[in-house]
Amino acid sequence: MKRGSADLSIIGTSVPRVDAVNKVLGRTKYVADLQLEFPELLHAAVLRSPHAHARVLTLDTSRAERLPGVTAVVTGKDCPKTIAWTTQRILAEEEVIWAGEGVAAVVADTPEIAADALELIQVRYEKLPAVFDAEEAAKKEPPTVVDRNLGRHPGGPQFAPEFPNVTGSYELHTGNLEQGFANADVIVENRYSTGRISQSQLEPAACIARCEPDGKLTIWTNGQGVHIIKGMLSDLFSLSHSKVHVISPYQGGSFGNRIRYHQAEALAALLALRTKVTVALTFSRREMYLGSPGGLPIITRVRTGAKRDGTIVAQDLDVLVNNGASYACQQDGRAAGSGAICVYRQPNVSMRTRGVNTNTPWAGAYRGLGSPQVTWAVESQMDILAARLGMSVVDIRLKNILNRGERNAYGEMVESIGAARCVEAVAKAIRIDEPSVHEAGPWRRGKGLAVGGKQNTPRGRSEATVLVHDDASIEVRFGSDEVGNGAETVMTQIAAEEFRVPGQTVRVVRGDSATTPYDTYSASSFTTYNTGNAVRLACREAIGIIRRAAAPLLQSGEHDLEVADGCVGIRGVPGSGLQISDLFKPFSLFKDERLPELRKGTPIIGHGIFAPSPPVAWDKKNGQTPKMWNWYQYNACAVEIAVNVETGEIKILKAAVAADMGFPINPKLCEGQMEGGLAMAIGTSVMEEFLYRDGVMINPSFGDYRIPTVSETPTRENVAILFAPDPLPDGPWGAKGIAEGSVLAVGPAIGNALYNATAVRVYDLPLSAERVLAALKASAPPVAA
Amino acid sequence: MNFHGRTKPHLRLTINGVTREFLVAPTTTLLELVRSKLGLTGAKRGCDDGNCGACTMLIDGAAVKTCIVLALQVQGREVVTIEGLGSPQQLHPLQQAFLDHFASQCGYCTPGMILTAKALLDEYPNATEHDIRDALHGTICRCTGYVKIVEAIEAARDSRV
Repeated sequence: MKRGSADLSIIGTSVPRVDAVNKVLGRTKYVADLQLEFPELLHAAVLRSPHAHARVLTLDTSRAERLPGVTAVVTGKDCPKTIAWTTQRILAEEEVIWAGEGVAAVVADTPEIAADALELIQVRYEKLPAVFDAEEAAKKEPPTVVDRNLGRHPGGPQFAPEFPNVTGSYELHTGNLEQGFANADVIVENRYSTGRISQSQLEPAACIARCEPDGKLTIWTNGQGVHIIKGMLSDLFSLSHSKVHVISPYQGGSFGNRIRYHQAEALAALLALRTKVTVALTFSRREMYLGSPGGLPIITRVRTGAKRDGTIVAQDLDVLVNNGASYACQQDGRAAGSGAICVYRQPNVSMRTRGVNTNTPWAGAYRGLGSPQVTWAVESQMDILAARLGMSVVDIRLKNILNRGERNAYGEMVESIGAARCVEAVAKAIRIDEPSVHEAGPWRRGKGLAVGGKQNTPRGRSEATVLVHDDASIEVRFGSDEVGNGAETVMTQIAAEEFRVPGQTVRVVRGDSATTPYDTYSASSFTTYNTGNAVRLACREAIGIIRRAAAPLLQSGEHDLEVADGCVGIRGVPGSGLQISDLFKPFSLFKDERLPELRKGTPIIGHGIFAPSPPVAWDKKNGQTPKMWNWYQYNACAVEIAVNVETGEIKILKAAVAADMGFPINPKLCEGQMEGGLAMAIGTSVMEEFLYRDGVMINPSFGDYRIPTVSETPTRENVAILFAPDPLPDGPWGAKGIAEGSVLAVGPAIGNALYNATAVRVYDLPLSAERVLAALKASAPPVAA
Repeated sequence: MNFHGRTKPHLRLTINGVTREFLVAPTTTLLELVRSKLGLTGAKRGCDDGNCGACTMLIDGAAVKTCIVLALQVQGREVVTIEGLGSPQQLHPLQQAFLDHFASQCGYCTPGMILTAKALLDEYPNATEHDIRDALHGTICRCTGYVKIVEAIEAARDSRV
């Protein structure tokens, strides 16, 4: 039996992606590519509000309905009432609450006719006062209330009637804050902010919804979580689960955009159910900005106290999360706040987090779930303290980073934390102690580093099914997503490892609510952990069946048998193996015999269910709990930048990224996540921002919302990717997750490098050229007369 | 004025080596034509305004963003899509390099990246990393951070020697 290093045959090896051949050939089908398979297909288009907050006075769709080629027009009154906390409302009715909210939808023979029909819909709006600023919106008497229902549990009271735009709040109090500050030798207080961002994954949202004559609904979608979507549609349209079928083919990126995306599926389903045909709903790029959930702007006020030796003795934080006009991915901002709790020892900390609504496009899950934004604040503070104390930026962090076996400020036991080694790795790679070389001209160089952690949300169970066919080939069925994250490849590796076979023997079937077992969506970096553990359990059940069938034939106890290379044999006895395919007995039509347990044509089926242990409700008074989240992934980043003091432009010259992912199941895929996260975070740190006029986004295109091209990233030899894994006890082979870690520390590393280069600190992301130049000018000494 | 379904001028062009004739509405883009009339869905719609390169095809050897090219503009030209490159039995060297170097994650930008790289290497077989970055800067990837894409193109370049 072949064995790789460390007794593993394929886990830990960079096997090629199982979906890559079709991707390089251009054969992979995404949702919009399936349209040709439906000759009867009709096309939908959505009319969106041009105002951030307005009453809909009149809405006349009659001219649109009469346009030849138009099958149906629907408005808010045709939509089922959505359930708060599960689905964004489908179309507005009496009031629109953000510029881009849908007010009507048409179904027509072609996309062109549908677009023409939108122009024939006549809407009269009465503009209402609007609020865009999160701090204004969070006040007792805000300029306007976005929607009184947003902060309300179904059938329940509003969360905070006195603060009508605040949808939730969380408070943590550990130790004695006052005493902590009294003992501090140095205290630093600042306000940090981040801008509104968009995941900008390349494939726009798309659905195809078909209604059969018997009322059965089938939806092909690039939304995430086929079972989640199925459940939502069943509830919304009062359909039995047997009448709803959701399929997700390959998805072109997500970074959180496709989670809670159900508004698109709900609208497509509504249109299909009404017209009884097949309807395609595809978002334009502009609609991705105006009508799909982007990333949260977060304001963090933080006051930090430290002793002369760098020990953090007190920290007071206020985290305000701007959810836009939405039912809120983060009603209470708690997930964002976790970034401030999971890295450092905090004996005396107070943190208040809040979610607030504004009349801006709805925000939702974005890679990092708010932790990068809070890490921006915390890691800038660490460098400011280091400068005040004359300490190195590495030493101050190493002094305070938690160790395994300690408890963090929530009260959770720290099980796995590679943060310190991540810091050391990037510091060494960028040679943080060597000052940058200075050159003549307007470019100033500087170096900076930062570290961050990201929680993992326990989202309940994943299930997996593994089939062993009578030719000994293996089929893994699971229900979550392949958005580019490599889930299909990792599950292939896991099954191949369990059965000790080459990866080519394993096939994956994924993302179909009718044929793949229950799973949640691929989010919070937990697919390898949650679904991976389920796949392992399913493999073991199938292997158990094989051993039980082979035991009498080998005259051995089941537990002395092992499976590898398509054989089952006695452990330690070479040559004792039977071919697994020989265990499947043909069943004769002509003989009356007992059914053999393993029969030709019928696969062995193993099923696995994995759920992490659930969180423990936190103490209402102090916010503490032994289990707020599941595990944490960690990441450090160090950069060398050049900033142009005449234009404010920042170039990233060199970058080092180190990740604690627990264990790298596929090292090359891990590198890919880290390189991708670095580029994405460069974008949100120096380039990307929603710009508004009266709450209307004025840059909803790749031309004006600029995301990094290759030119904005360092050259290949200037990117260092480093692994510093700390195994997780219940992760598959110690693996945690990696997808989000690499966006955590990039922003503050760049901000710290900017300070290193210019002695100017900017507190607001993105560090756009305009913002940096203004800060440089504001701090420049006055010109002598 | 409504052009849809009315005047449809005649278009003749070569796609992946096969000459074809169509009647197309003047407003039809080359991207729409190739995807819907020929079912060649490798070229993708990503941004609607020629910024992301997911719609890239080769027109007479040059990498062109076809979401902003009207089909009638390529009268008589030679168009190559990703489907015209390689086969499951024999991948084009660029396709093999993308596979070997993990240069594709979600895969949505991959056809555009490969064709853009092909246009570059066909014209500049000794393209440097600087040349590659220059050629790719109009084709966006959100997943990979470009490192392995550049690595793959350099490997394909080196394998041609």
